[in-house]
Parts: sequence; C-alpha cells; structure tokens
Amino acid sequence: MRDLRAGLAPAFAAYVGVTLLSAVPWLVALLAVSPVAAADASGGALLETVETAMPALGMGAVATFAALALTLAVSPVMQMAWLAALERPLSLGDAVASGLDRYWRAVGVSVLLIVPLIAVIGVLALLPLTGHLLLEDGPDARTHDLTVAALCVPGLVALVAWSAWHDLVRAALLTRADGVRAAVRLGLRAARPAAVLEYVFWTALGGALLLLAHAVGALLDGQAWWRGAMILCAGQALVFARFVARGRWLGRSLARVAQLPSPSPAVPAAEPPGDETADAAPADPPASTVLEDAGEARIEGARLFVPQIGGARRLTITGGTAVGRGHGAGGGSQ
Amino acid sequence: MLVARLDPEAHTVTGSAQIRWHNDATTPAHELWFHLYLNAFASDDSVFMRESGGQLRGVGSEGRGSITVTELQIEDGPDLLADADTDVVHGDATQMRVPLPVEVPPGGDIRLRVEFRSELPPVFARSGYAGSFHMVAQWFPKLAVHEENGTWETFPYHANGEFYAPFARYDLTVDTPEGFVVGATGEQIEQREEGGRVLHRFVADAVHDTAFCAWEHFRERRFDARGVDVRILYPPGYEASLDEHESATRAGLERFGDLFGDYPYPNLTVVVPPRGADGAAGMEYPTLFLTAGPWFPMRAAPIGGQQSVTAHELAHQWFQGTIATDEVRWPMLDEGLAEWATADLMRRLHGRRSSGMSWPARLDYFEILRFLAFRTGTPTDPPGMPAHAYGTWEYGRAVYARTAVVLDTIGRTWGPQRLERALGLYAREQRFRHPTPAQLFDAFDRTYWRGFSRAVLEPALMRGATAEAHVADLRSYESGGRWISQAQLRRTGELWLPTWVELRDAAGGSTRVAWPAGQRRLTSAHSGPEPITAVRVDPDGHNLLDPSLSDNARGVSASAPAGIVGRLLAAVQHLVAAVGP
Repeated sequence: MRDLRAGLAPAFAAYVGVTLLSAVPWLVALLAVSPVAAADASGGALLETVETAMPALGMGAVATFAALALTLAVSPVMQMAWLAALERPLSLGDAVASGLDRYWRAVGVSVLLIVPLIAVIGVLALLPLTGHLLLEDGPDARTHDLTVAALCVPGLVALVAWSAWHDLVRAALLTRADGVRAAVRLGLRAARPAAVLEYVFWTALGGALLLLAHAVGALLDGQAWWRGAMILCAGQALVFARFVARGRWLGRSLARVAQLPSPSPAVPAAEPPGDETADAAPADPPASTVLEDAGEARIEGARLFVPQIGGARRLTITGGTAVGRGHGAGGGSQ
Repeated sequence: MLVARLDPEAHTVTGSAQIRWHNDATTPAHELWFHLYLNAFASDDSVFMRESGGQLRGVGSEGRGSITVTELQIEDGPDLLADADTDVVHGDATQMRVPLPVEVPPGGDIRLRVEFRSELPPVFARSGYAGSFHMVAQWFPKLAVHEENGTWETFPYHANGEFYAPFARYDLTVDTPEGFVVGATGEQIEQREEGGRVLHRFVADAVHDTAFCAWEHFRERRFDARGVDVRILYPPGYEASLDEHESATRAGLERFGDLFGDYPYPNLTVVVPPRGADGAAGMEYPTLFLTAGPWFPMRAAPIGGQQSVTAHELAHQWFQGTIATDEVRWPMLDEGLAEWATADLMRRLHGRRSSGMSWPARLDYFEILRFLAFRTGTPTDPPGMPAHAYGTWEYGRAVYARTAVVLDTIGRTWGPQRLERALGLYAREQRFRHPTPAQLFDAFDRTYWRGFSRAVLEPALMRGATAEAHVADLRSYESGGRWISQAQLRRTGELWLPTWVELRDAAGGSTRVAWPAGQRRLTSAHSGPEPITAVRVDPDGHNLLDPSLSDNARGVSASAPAGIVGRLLAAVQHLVAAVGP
C-alpha cells in the first residue's frame, strides 16, 4: 500500500504528460466533428459531417501521428524520470533531470534491443507464414485463421518478453549499471518467466482499464452536462488508473533488478583470510558503495550477496564494514 | 430436361437438354434465340469483358470460360446448328440466333435436342470453380424471352444485369463423382449411384433459370421456415455464422411472404461459398442463392454482414425470381426493390437507428444508402436506366441505393403501411409475369391516388428528381415586449414532399408547423414571449431524397455528441499511451 501511494504522484505526472501530448490531436479532431447536429437521431447528418470534416480529420490524423512521434521521442525521458521517481522520492524537476541525464543511454537500450527483437520475430514469423501456406487451399477457413493466429502466439510471447526485458534493462540502467551493455545483461538476467508474467499482468490490467475508459466515454451520449462531467471524470480516472498499473510494473522492475546478485564484486577484492586484523584499517578508506533496495546483506569472503528484497532500503559499505539502514534490516558485518 | 455431367478435374460440364418450347405470342415464330452466357468469359472482346474491364466487384477474371453447342436439332428432325449464328455482336458470342426451317404458329410447340460442353472459368462473375468447389451458373443454352408481340427480348451478357428468361419446368440431373454434395434449383427428388458416379435429380416448376453448385466439403443445416424446407450448404468451420444466415432467412420468408405473397416453392437452398470463391458470392437463382460472409458472425454492421447479404438474395426470390422483370432494361425493378426489402428487413431485425450499423456509431441503413446515392461522388443518374448504362459503382449507387431511398421516402412521408400495400399489390399481381415500370406505377396509383406516380414515383425513379429543402432565413425582433420571429423555408428540388418544420424558442419550447406538398416556399411567422432561435426542416428524417442535410437547420446548436468527444479523447490517449513511457 505504501508503494502504491508512493507511485501515485509519478503516475499522475505521466498521465498528465501523456494527456498533454494527446491534447493537440484531440482538439483538432474535436473541431472536425463539432458541426455534428446533435439532434439528428438517424445518423444521416453524422455521415455528412464526417464527409465535410474529412480535411480537418486528415489534419487530426497528421496531428495524431505528430503526437505519436513526439511521444516516441520523449518516451525515454519520461520513462527514466518515472523510474527515478519510483526509485526514490524526487521532485518533478529532479526526476526529469534524471531522465534527461539518461536519455541517450535509454535510447541506446532500445536501439540495441531492437536487433534481437527483429531477428527473433523474423524467425517466428515463419511459423504463421508456413501455416498459411499449408492451409491456404484447405476447405476450412476457420481452421486456417485460428491456426495462423495460434502460430502468431510465439511471436507475441517473444514480443511481450522483449517488452518486459526492455523495461527491466531501463530499470537496470537507472540502478545497477552505468553502461548500456551491462544493463542489457542485467535486464536479461532479470527477465525471468515470473517477471514476464508480472509484466503481462500489469500490462493487461492497464489495457483493460483503457478499454473500460473507452466504453465509459460512449456513455456520454445524451446525458445532462453534470452527469456527463461525472462520466468524463470517471473515464479519466480509469485512464489514470492505467498509469498507476504501469507504474506498479515499473516499480517491480526496479525491485527485480535490484534483487539480482551483482555481476561483479561490488566491493574491492578483500584481502585473503588471515590478513584481517583489527589494526589493519586502511590508511585511505575506500569510497563508499551504495546499494539501493538491498535486503539483509552478508559478506562472505570477497563476495556480497543480497538474498532478499524488501528489507533494508539502503546499504552502505565502507571499507570492510557493512552497515544496514532502513526498515528492520540488520546491518551485516564482516 | 437437362443432364449435366461435371468433371471436377477438368472443370467442365458436358450437358444435354431436351426442350419443349411453346409459342405464347400472337404471331408465328421463325427463329429461336438462345443465350450462351459463359462465352462472356471466352475472350477479352466480349461485351461483358469490355464493359467490366475484366473485373467485377473487386474480383478479377483469371481464366477463360466458354460454352460450345455441339448439337442442336429438332427432335427427330433436321439439324439447326449449321445455320445458327453467334456473331450477333462483333466479338461477343453470348447470343445465338437459330433460324427455324418451319415456323411455329401461335400456341404451337417445338421440341429440341441440344448437346453442349461448358468450360468453367476460375470463379468469376458468379460462375466457375475454386479448387473443387464448382458454381455452375449461366451454363447452358438458355432460351430468351419471346414477348407477346412476337419479338425476342435478347441481349448480350452485360457486366451489370444478366437475367431475363421465360418461366418453365426444369428437370435437372447433375452427374458428379462420388462424395460431392450438390445444391441446385428445385426440389431434389432422386439421388442414385451409377457406375461410380452419383446422379442428383432436381425438379422445379415455374422457374426461369437453373443453376447448381457442387463441392465435396459442404456441410448442411436444414430447417423449416413458414412451410419452406430450407437447406443451408456451408463450408466446414462456418458454424458460428450460420445463425446470422438462418435468422435472416427465417425473418425474410416471414416478412417478404407477408408483404409480397408467400414464397411459392417448397424448398430453398442457401449456399455459403467457401473462402476463395468470392466471385460466386451474393447471387440469386430460382430457389437457390449464394450469400456471403466470413465464418464469424458480423453483428455490429448489418449492412455489410451476413444477414443483409442473405436478406438481399432472398428478396430476389420475389423481385426477379417470381416477379421476373427484365434486369437489363429495368434493373431498378430487380435490384432496387430487393435492396429496399433488404433494408426494411434489417430495420425490423435491428431497429431503425441500428439497422445499418450499431458500432462504433449507430446508423440507419437507409441513411447509409442515401449517403451512397447522393454524397459519394457526382450526383447519380436516375435508377430507371438500363443496366449497361451505368458503371459498376454507379450501378450500385443509382439502382440499389437510390431506388431504395425513393421508396422509403414515400413510406416515411405517407406512412409505411401504404407503401407496403402498394408494393404488395404490385408483387402479387405480377407474380410469374414479366412486368415493367408501368405495372409498378399503376400499383402505386391505385394505392395512393391517381397521378401519384406521375407526380412522385416516376420523376424520382425515371428522372432522378430530388426533394431538396432548406432553411433560407430565420430572424427575430422584439416589439412591444413580445418577440416576432420569422422563418423562411425553400424547396429547390423537383419533388415537393409534405413535411414538418420544427421551431424552437429560446426557453426550449418547440412547436411544429406543416409544410404542405404544394408550396415551394414557406414563411412561418410567430409571436411570443420568447424568440424562435432554431428551425429544422423534416425533424423526423422522412425525406431521404434531400441531397444535403447540412442546410436543413438554422440555429440548432451544433456540437459533437458527447459520446464522440469522450471516445475520441480516450482513443487518442490510448494511442499515445501505447507508445508512451
């Protein structure tokens, strides 16, 4: 519940951002259909309005494409800012600054990941194509269609898994890795089946909320203004809820990445056992290493293990001593 | 009597016919005329191919088809083939004139023997094959209509409109390999195996054509509707869509039976062609028709769904099947009346507002037809022209859509029951005849009033008259504490249909004023405590012959329906969110 509350503000910011990006095409389209005479019951005037509004609707379509392109362009910033805001409480400005800082790396992630996606989808596309060729001349069109649809599922699964991976890599980029390649590897390790299923759950929930919002929008016909306003608010609340669902997944992606064992020692290599002496404190203490969202930690030899999530919020390791801070986490010490 | 031996490998039909022809005319006959319609696909020079450009409704011609008469003789008499002439129209062999060595007197008979071989094309323009599916239509030498005055009504196979033939008893035997399911015109009275093949025998009385389909994969659903044995032949996998076809067939047999007289045959075969045989879809033959549609039901858009296609082809069982008009000369009596019946049935099944579409917007079927007729491209020609005078697209707009909206405008203006009585009178009186528009106009004159057709129906159908009306002016001024308001209304169309005018005042009150048929202009003056702020002509949407609705109202607040606003916002948000963070 606490995480849900913490996620509301970033989700609201994302909702506002997307709604603002939608505003221009929506207004253009609204102007195009505004001459519809509301009193016409049979739809005849509606058809004529659509006909006369075609140029304006064309502009609306262009504006929509422009908005989509713009959204695509700013999406990495928005997502990284959203992740940053989920990772720790930040002001909107700080979150956006964090997103801007990581913009090119986030774009790099997408560029890097698109290559295996194309390769895998390209191969998996052969399945429905083969099914189509085999069943094209058969007597049963339904069998053909359903078989082709079923053979599209592996590609869809790959696409879904890729999308989850993509989000996890961006989460890793924020929390665990400076380089794109390291983030890609971390993301891949985090993209376990459970993570993909979790992504599917939250994404499906978000999609269902959007569909519900669309259906609620249809109820506006013929309502008094105050009831219409309430319905409009309900529809927008559902759209916002979709962003909350998306935010929940992004939060989970951060946690899943943080849960991973480090790919490389997080602390400098320790001295061999036996060299450990109380008076062997280094003259120049090493720089502190901060691990976010770490749980109970213990250090064995030269390796740091973070076995569970949800414990310590922050683990600071200074020299050979690990000190846990946070909710009920005990500090570990060597 | 016809015998057809189908070779599904070679896609050919080897046929023989015994014909008894009776001279119903008042003059002796010195020649016979046959239609050899399959020759429309024999070369690019045929009238059909020249007019259609080798495609019909988006389906292109992919191969040749032809019919060759190999033997034609008077039974136990001389050969007629040597003198037969198929070069009636240069490059087109779809007609054959056969001089007779002896004349057939009025009331006399002649018996003929014909042997022929038909090569079916890859399915195109409703005939041909797709894999092992065969739709064998327009496949035999078919006699033209010998009119009462002794002239032959004959024409080449045109791209639009192909039917006009005399009523006769057809006894058809279809000879297929084992395993084939056959649907054909008439009632199946026999099926027997013979030499590894199966003979399917169908008999139909009082029909003017016969056709059959054969496919080994057909499934069958059978039911009784209004005493008619209905058989639906469909491809495997189409079970989900069958209810749409069945409901339309049941409702149509009831509705059309009530309106136009009972379906006169004991059985009806509805064929759902398989995918890939789209060129065969949507075509009517006596007691058999091919419908269209995918394997899943399309309920949201009746105008494009299975129900409307089935309803339309079923309506042809009356308009053309039993009321056998000349489709080439008067296509509006065939396609136009069938389209009105289709839209009317959809209105009964789905309600007026959703009869054409229920999602994403609700649209009236007739409003869509009005839009097609008047708003998609240049103004259409009148519906009353010959079929070959139109291009394919214009044929649909003028003949199907415009005829239907003319009729429904009459129904909406003077009441639907009266229109139904007029159409019913025409249909019942002309059953098993070959009527012309004169008989339709006569039925309307007798149902409405003498001169009705000359004033309304004939201009609308034969000259393309419209009933354009608009608001020319609306003004109000205050005088002595009261508002004086005046609305000016004008008619610019040729038809002046009686209608209502709705006036709304500033307080939201409304009143209606009649605008009688005889007045080109109407000035409506009002005095009251509130000014008239809005006026609308034809508030109930009765007049479908007004090409422009945008000038029918003045002062009506023009705003998009709130539902559109809400859905539009959600749709754009969803799109953006989909590519968003």
